[in-house]
Amino acid sequence: MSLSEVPVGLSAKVKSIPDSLVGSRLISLGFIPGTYVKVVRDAPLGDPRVYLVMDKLITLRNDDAVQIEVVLDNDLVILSSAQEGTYTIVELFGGVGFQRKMHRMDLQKGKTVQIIGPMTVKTQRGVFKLGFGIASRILLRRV
Amino acid sequence: MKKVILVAETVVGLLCFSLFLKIDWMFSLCVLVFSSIYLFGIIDSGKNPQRIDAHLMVGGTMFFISMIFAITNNLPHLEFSTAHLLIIVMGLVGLIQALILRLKFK
Amino acid sequence: MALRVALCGNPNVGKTSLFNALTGMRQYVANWAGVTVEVKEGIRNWQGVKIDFVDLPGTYSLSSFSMDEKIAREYLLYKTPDILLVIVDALSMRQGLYLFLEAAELDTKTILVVNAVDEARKQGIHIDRQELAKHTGVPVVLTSAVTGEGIDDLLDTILRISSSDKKKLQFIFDEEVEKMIKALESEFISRPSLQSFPARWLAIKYLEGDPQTVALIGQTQVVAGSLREKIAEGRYKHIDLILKEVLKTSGEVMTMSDALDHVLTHKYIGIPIFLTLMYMTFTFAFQTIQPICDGIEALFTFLSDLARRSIANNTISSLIADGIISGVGSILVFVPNIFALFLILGIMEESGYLPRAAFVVDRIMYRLKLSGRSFMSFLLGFGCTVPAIMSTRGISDQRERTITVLSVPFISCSARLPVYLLIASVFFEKEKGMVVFSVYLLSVIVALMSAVLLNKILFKGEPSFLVLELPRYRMPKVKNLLLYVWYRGKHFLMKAGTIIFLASVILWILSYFPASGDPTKSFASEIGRALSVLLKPLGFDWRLSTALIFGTAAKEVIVSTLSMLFGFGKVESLGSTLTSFYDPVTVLSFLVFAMAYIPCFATLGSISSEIGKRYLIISVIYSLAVAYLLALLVRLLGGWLV
Repeated sequence: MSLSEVPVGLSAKVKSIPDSLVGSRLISLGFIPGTYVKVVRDAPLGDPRVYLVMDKLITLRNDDAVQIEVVLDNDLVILSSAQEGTYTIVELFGGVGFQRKMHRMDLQKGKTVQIIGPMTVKTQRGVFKLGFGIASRILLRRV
Repeated sequence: MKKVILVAETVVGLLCFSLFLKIDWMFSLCVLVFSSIYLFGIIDSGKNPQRIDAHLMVGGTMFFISMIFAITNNLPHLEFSTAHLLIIVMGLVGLIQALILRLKFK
Repeated sequence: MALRVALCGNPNVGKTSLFNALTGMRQYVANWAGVTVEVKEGIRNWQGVKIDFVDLPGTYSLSSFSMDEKIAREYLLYKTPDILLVIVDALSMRQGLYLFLEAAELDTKTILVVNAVDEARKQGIHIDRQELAKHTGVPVVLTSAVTGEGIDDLLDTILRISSSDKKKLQFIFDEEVEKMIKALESEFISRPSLQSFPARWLAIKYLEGDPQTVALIGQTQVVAGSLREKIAEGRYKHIDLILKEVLKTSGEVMTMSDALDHVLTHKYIGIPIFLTLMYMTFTFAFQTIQPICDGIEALFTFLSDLARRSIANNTISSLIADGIISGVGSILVFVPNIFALFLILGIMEESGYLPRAAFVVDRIMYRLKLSGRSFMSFLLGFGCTVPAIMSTRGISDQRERTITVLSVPFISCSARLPVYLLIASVFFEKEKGMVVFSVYLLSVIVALMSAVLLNKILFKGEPSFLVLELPRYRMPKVKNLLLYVWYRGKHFLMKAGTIIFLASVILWILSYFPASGDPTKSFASEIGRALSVLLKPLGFDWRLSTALIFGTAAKEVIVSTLSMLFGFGKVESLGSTLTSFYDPVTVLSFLVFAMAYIPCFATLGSISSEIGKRYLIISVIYSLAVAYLLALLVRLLGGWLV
């Protein structure tokens, strides 16, 4: 997955950096393969976002962050990029309204769900096809 | 306790906004924006209790700034209405708030 | 022989403050990255030795991606100093040490300076100096430019290592990397054209794929840039090893910066807060401060009357009273406005809020294919266009830089304020703040539209890559604020003393002769009449045309020209005369024309020195065309509405 998909508040390990001028600049800023980057917050309009890299706050546009390949730790995966299989929900990133909406689909922290297709989730309440906006805010762990 | 302060200040802030609407509508919009700092403090507080402190501190500072702004802007006319008195109270409370809460952060 | 000592470090680590503390100089220090765009020098005598300090622009690495980096690196390569100080921030040492490891390859005597130790201590971070010196192999000094801690120590250390032998410093990479470096090194040594550079450094830079180095060397046995990630990884691994020994931290609490950022860059209220603060700033600077301006105006009227009464010779008394005092006075009236504006902008910049503002609005700028970085230049443009244009050096993308340089002049600089204020206070007394605010808003819109337009016409490239570092918030220091206000305001005062003084005299001559005092029959009116043919569609008569001609010297001159042509000397009577001559629509279109047309001489000078003479001509023609069209639009719209 790319760095731009990592929800705010999570850390990810950098896997690879594009081979370009931008890539070189990113490396000199501290986006080194193997190091951890934390997503601190996003701008009011969602772009750019602030990352904690090498103990300092650096802003990066999503168009640039998309080029950075990262991995989440401990089998963690975002629903939008999850393969088929069984998962437990680790975290839902969103406000009260979002939580309530998810609750109605029986998507809650700690629940076990099945992914049966791209962004298609099966819970006890039924099968739901999620949009990318929602799917990218649900953090799962493979069981 | 802090939530009560936030609610109270949001209400007084909105009252201030409506009072200033007739005197200086641009400034009243400023007051509205600053009141919404308190308002969002109530909404944001669910996830991290320290965010209440953050909102109280920044909101307090902003109201202090608007107090100075309102006073200096009115200096030549020297007519202070209820609205002005209210903003002065909000500003002073805000200043105290900001000074106390600033010790909560590194 | 003076000892030459260069300071380098990441942006915003307090390099300039340290430079000031070392030299006793008073360079203004801003709380955002990329303030030092030029190399600054200062001298200090320490224990009988003359030390020449050089402050280089802040850089993340010694590559050649942006102008700042190029300046710093070229200095280190071609004018190698006796001693190099690498300054790192005690609170984010990782990045600083990366630069240090790069600089160490340059084969210069180096001292590692860890700055802001007082702030680190406050956050419970302890730095072990001995360990750090052991691991890096160079002398380490802990300083705080704010409290002055460690400055004497640093000066002593400089003297000490200046007399000792140079130690070969080298950071060894993995075997695989080292093998490649060695191979390239031996190849480079045999090339006479590369003799003056440190071969190992060149080899590393080549393997990192640094564009300038690759261009310099050309093809070799190895692919350029093939080990880019390996090298960076190796360096950071080494740094982590060092820091593990050196740093001792305690506990984690939400920091002050976190708390402030949470609200000030808030999802919903971040942008409204920014706009509100900007509105309050402008109202404060242009409305609240007005009584002081009125006082100054009264003083100059008094002085001019005094001169007229006490000097017998008619021509001389007119020169002094109507030419010099009124001309310069009509400008000095605006000094309080300008100082107040800079005071607030200074507080925003000092506290660290300004980069956040750039962050918050970046998305909007991105749509225009610009970045928050150019947003900073646009913001500076409200003060004076010249420093704003100079600040574009930090933009790494040449395309964005050119667009910004050509569009920034449309942003209303403080020199245009007198024109706006005069017209707003005469015609729109009650909504003065509102009118000035609208013109400012219009100038922003025009500047942004111009950016889009230029992007479409001149370039079709990819949008630039944006990186902003968000510094820690800090309480603005009164001394620093005063310096800020003074340095910006001084510019204006100096202009009043030089260009505007001269322009006032010339103007007086042009308008006094040959009819000895009747401005309607003067030389100036002849020029204006010739030009007014062109400006007729806009409704400008020869007086307004004349004012515009003189305004190209510096836009403030428009006001003194008008006061000369109408009141002939009396600032206070100008208002009533103007209302009887022109209708509000003409005045408004004049206002818009004055906002957009040809940037002043100083700006034209900096445009040509920054991006080339070609763009100077482009800028003049371009801005005239835009001004003409806008003014025509206002005239047509106004005529239709009124």
